[in-house]
Order: sequence, then structure tokens, then C-alpha cells
Amino acid sequence: MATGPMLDNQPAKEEGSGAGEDLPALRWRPAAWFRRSLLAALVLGQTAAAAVALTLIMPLESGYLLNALLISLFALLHGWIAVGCWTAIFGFVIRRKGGDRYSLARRHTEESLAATALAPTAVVVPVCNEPVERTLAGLRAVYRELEHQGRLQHFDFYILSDTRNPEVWLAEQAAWHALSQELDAGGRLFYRRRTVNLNYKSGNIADFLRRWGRRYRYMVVLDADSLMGGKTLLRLVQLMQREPGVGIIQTSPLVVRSQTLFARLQQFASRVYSPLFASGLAAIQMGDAAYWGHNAIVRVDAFMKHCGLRKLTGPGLFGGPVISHDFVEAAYMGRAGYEVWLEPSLQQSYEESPPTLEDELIRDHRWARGNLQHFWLLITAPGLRFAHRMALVNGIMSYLASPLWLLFVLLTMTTASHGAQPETTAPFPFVDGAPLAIGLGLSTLGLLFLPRLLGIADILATRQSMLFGGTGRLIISAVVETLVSLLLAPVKMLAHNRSVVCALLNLPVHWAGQNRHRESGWTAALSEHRTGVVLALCWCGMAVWIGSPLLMLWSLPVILPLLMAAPTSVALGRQASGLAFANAGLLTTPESRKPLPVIQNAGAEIPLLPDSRGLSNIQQAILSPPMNALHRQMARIRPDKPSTAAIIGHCLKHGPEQLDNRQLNLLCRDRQALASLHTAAWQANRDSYWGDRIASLTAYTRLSIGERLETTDRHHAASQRPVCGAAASPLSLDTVDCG
Amino acid sequence: MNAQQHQPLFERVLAYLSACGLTPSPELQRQARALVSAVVSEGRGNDIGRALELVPAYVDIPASSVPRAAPRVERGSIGYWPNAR
Repeated sequence: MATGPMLDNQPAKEEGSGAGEDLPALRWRPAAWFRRSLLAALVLGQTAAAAVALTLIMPLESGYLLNALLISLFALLHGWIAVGCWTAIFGFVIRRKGGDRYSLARRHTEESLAATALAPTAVVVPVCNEPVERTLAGLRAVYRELEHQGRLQHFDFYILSDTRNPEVWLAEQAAWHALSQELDAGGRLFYRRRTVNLNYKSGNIADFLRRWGRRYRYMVVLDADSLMGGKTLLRLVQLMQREPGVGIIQTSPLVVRSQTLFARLQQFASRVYSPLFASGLAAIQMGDAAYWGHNAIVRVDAFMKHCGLRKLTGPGLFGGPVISHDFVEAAYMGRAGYEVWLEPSLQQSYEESPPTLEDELIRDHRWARGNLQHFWLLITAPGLRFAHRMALVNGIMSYLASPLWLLFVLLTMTTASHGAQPETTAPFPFVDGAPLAIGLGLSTLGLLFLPRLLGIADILATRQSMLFGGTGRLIISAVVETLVSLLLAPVKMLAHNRSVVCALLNLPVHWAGQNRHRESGWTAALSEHRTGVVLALCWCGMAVWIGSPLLMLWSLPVILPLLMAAPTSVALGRQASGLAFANAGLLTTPESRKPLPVIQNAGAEIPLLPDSRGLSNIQQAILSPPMNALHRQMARIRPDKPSTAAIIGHCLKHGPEQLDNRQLNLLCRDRQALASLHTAAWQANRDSYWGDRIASLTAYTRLSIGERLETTDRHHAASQRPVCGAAASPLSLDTVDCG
Repeated sequence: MNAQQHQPLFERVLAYLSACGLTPSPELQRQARALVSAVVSEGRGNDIGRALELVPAYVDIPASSVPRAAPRVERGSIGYWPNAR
């Protein structure tokens, strides 16, 4: 049963007088209907024309069935690419016209928004095995932004951890504490770790909402790599306050802070092409937009009321918790009568790219499974809006397109190889329909490359090319990006095929956190791409075996990238190669050229965690008095159990390395166990495991302070120690009167 | 008191204080020596447990207050279609 926006969500009163007048509310649904119809007509018309052209030029000797299959696949893939291309064209037109007059941001004047009262808002950052200091540095930058705006009192911050690795979550706790102290954010910056990780990220958010959702009117969801400017955060809250019928406002984050060449390419593409796609998407979807799971503001009450995600009850892949939750939540919000808007005009919203190809493919492997799950929702979920269903279809096609493409490529190559047959007189099988074939080829190329050209045209038209290093460098960068995209396309296609197959076979996906900054290595690259290499070699062998050089020729655009995938991946995944391009002024973006304060602050490498003194986080939690006190405070009081005592004994005797993660989790979240371990470790014999750690701690301290302390440490004989200056005078029990 | 005999206790105390985040200055070492003396004078030998108990009495260890990790829970529930909360 759909219900409208709640009565308590009436537009907020303005704080002061003299606010500018807003535009009268525009009825956007007729405009949305017209735009979507126009898009459908353009896509279907173009696809139909292309399919007819292909039918006319297909070689007859391939056979009816093969031709019919090939044309059907072509139509499907062509249509899907056409949707993307026309979306970019819509975006280009909208941007050239100065923006969409229906957008939320255009409805309200600067003055009226600035005068809008804010409401309690939670900024939540779900994390799972993320690099701790990097993540919290981003949160610190966002916090500082709001502090700078002087509106901190309306916001609380939550780190919502699903981390299972005790080495990581102990660091999270320590970093949270350090950040709280640094920002003096006690009572405003919170940390919560779930011990039972139900339902992935959506379960983590739901856990937060069940506990504290009622405290807040809005929730801004940030990923571990998200950044958002203070003004953008305020604007999001103000827009939500002014628009009580809106359930979610999604910003369009740009990729920033890229280091490797791969990430820099993503960053460049995101900055040059994404604005067009985002503007086009926003213009078509309007109030039925999608939610991307982060860099968005959510109306908490509506979300809690209508966006609960039941476990799916279908077979195999279509059973269990919803993995890709965001599109579904947007659809549910729409079903409940709320609008969901994508607002690309809101600046200062950022995210990061996976640093390497392998990391992107790992992420895609997870997303493929999540998106394919949406099949079940399409069939079984009642009441979803058509636009949201289309968004789900689009998400499914993002991955299903790969097997279709692979099949299409195989069929095309098979058909093309018929040109080598003796009965075919011309070396080019489509020679009779050459003009049509050329036209079709150009049309398809146009679909693929027109968005890129429009992206550059948009920058040139707004005279912003200097922000990209100048017109020449902008164009060279775009060419490089395009070439690399062509090189990676077959590799990604093959990887997506594997992901789709794994998903359909319901093979489990393990989530162990995402690499945010590490480089590619040869081992990972070879491991990831070996299947592609083997398949490419097999294909070459087959072409040689059947004696078809034409087949080989037609296959080269697919085979070569597959053969070169590992070295390409390693080259792209290196920071040095990214730096080389940056030094040449290539792949420059305005944000990389002159980062805004929020990006600079997030990148400032101010350490949060104390010096580890050579100890692991678990060793610190046991040995370091302040760390032990902190983690004890965060731990729970649990009943004494013989099994816990046995684990404590084992840890004392052999060290935490001899325990598995489950045992370590048990110890580190047990207040009494931590206290016992701390006391016992400090009383351990010099020759024991912990005695050794304490000795190394002493040695570390001595080295770090430049030998001002004299001891009889058996690990460091006096003769081996550097003695300098005043430190030369020993201060030991041997030389003083203890009595 | 045999200083050589109690050197291990002294070193362990210093290591502990250092792990507390205190810089091993001469003043800190003086305090540590006094602490060791106190333990020895109690006839506890090299009892590190006793020494750690006495640490707060002899050395000013900076207090580290841990803020609340979470605010007071205000429990709500999640609604599931078609039975919204």
C-alpha cells in the first residue's frame, strides 16, 4: 500500500525574513513521460534501422538460424548502447541549455535555501576491512568542512563497521578514539561494530537505523572512499527540508585522488564524460532516479518505513539477502510515493576509483551477482514504478551484456570466416552491401564514441579546457583513454562472463574489503588473466588448424588485448606510470590540478594511529596500557568461560599469531580477557613470548629516542648501541642508589 | 638493595611507562627507581605485578578518557512491504 509523504515532513520554515522566492512547483511527470518516450523512440528507431541494414548485408551462406541469432543479438546490444549514447546526448543538450529547469536545485533560490533551517542529520560511513587511516582521514576532511561552515551542531557522524579481522577493527577503534580527541568530537563522532554481519551493507545501515534512526530526520551515506564538501552537505539537507516529497537525493560523485594510471584514466573519464551521462540520466529519470548507495541523502523516517529488504526466496542466486541494495531501496522509496532525484548540479561530491584493473574486476564480480539478483525482484516485487524497473533492467544488462557480446563476437567471427570459403569470390564477404555495411559500422562507432566527443565538446564550449591541461592535452588524454578502453574491453568482457557464470551457479562471493591504493603485481595480474590468455591461444590455434587467416584477422581486436592483459594490467596498475602521465600534463582534471580543501585534507597524511613500536594491533591491544584501556572500554563484559580461559592461556604462552580470527575476536571483545592478558603479559618471564615483545619494545624506544637510556637488555649489548652526546652518561640501576 | 639484582624489574617498569606513552626522561627514570625501591622495600623482590599496581602512585600517567562510542539507543523498526511500520 503506497502512502504519501508524512505530515511531519512539511517544508521547513525559513530562519530569517527576506528570503528569495522559489519557483512555483513544476509538474515534472508529463515532462518525464515526454522525455522517456522520446528516448524510446530514438533508441528503438535507430536500432530497428540498424537491424534492417544488417539483415540486408548478411552473407547468405551463414544460414538462416545463425543469421537470425546474430541479428537478434545485434539488435539487443545495439539498443543497449544506444540508450547510453542518447542519454549522453540528452545530457549534452541539457547542459548547453544551462541546466534542467525541472531539477530540484533549480526550484529554489540560493537565498531561500540558505535561509532554510537544518535538521538533525547523521553522516554514516559503513566500512568493512577498509584501510583505516585513509578512511578516517576522509571522514576528518568532511567533518572539518562542516566545522568550517559553522553548522556542525546539526550533524552526527557514525563509523559503522562490519570488519571481521581483529587486526583491522582494533585499528578502527584506536583511530576513532584518536580522531575524536583530535577533533574534540566526543558525543558527535561515534563508532559501532556489528558482531553479527547480517545482510551486508544494507544490514549494517538497517542496524544503525534500528538503534539510532529515530534521532535523525536525514542520513547522509558515505562510502569509505567518499568525500563531500560542507556546502554540498548543507545544500542536500536544505533541499530535503524544502521538498518533503523527496525520499532520496543522489549526488553524482566524481573520481578523485587517483594515483595509478588505471585510476587516473577512470578519473579523467569520470570528469570528462560523466557529467553528460549524469545530466542525461537525471533529465530522463527525474523524480524516479536511482540511489547509488553512497554520496546521497536519505529521508530516514520514509526509509525506515518503506525500504526494509526482505531476504529473497527464489532458488540459488535468487535466494538470500539482497546484495545490490541501493537500486532496490530507490525502487521501494518510489513505490511508497516518494521521489528520488539525481542532482548532478551539486558539486563537491567525490569518490575514488579502484587503483587497478584486478580490483575493479573483483568489485564487478560482486556487483554482477547483486545486479543479476534483481531479476527475481523484477518478477516478484509488486508496485514498482516503470522507471525503477528500467533501472533494474539496465543494471542487469550491465553484466549480462558481456555474455551476449561474447556470443555475438563468436558468431560474427564465424560468419566472417566464411569469406575464406572457396565459393566466396570476394575477400570481403559483405562487398555487395559495402555502403550499407560502412554506414552501419560508422553508426555503431558513433554510438560508442559520440559521448566521448560530446564530453570534450562540452568542455571546449564552456572554455574549461585549461582546467584539463589545455585543448591539446585534453584531446590527447581522451585518445589515450579511448585506446586503453578498447584494450580493456575484451578483458572486462571475459571477466564479466566469468562473474555472470559464477553468479548463475550461485558460487559464493567473499567480501574481504577493497584495495584502495595498492599497486598491481605480476602474480595477481597473471592469476587474474590466465584464463583469457589460454582462451586466446586456443582460438589462435583453432584458426591455424582450420587454415583460416581471415578468422585470425577478424579475431585480432579481441585476441590481442587478451594476450596482453597481464602486462597491460601491471603497467596500468603502477603509480609510477600514473605519475609519468601527470608530469606530462596528461589525464589532468580540475580536481587533480588544483584540489579543493576537502580533497587536500583527505590526502594530508596526518597519522591517526599511534606509533605501533613494531607491534601488531592485537599485540598493542594486549601490551600497550592506553590501547588496552581503550579496547577494554569498547569491549563487553562477558561471563567467564573455560574455553575463554584456555584461549587466554594459549595466547599468553604462544602469542596471538597462534590463534585464529574467531578466537582473537572472542578475546578482543571481552573486557575481562583483555584485562587478564594485559596483566599477565607484563608479568611474563623475559624468555617467554611476551617477555620478548616487551624487550623489543624497550629496544624500539631506545632506538627511537637516540639511546638516552641504559639497560642491560640481552638483545642489545652496550657495545652495539650508538652512544652520542649527553646520552653517553648511563642512567641505570647500577649507577644509582636505590636504597 | 642489590641494584644489579633489581635491574630487570627496573627495565620492565621503564618499558611499561614507555608503553604508556611517557618519554623516558631522567625524571621518569628517577620515579621508576623510586617505584622499584618501594617494591623491594616491601620484600616483594622483582614482583612486576606489584610494581604495576604502584605505578599510579609514583608516576603521573596521562589520563585518556574514552568518549562514548555511541549515543543512547532510541530503538525503531524497519518496515517491510506491504506491512509498512
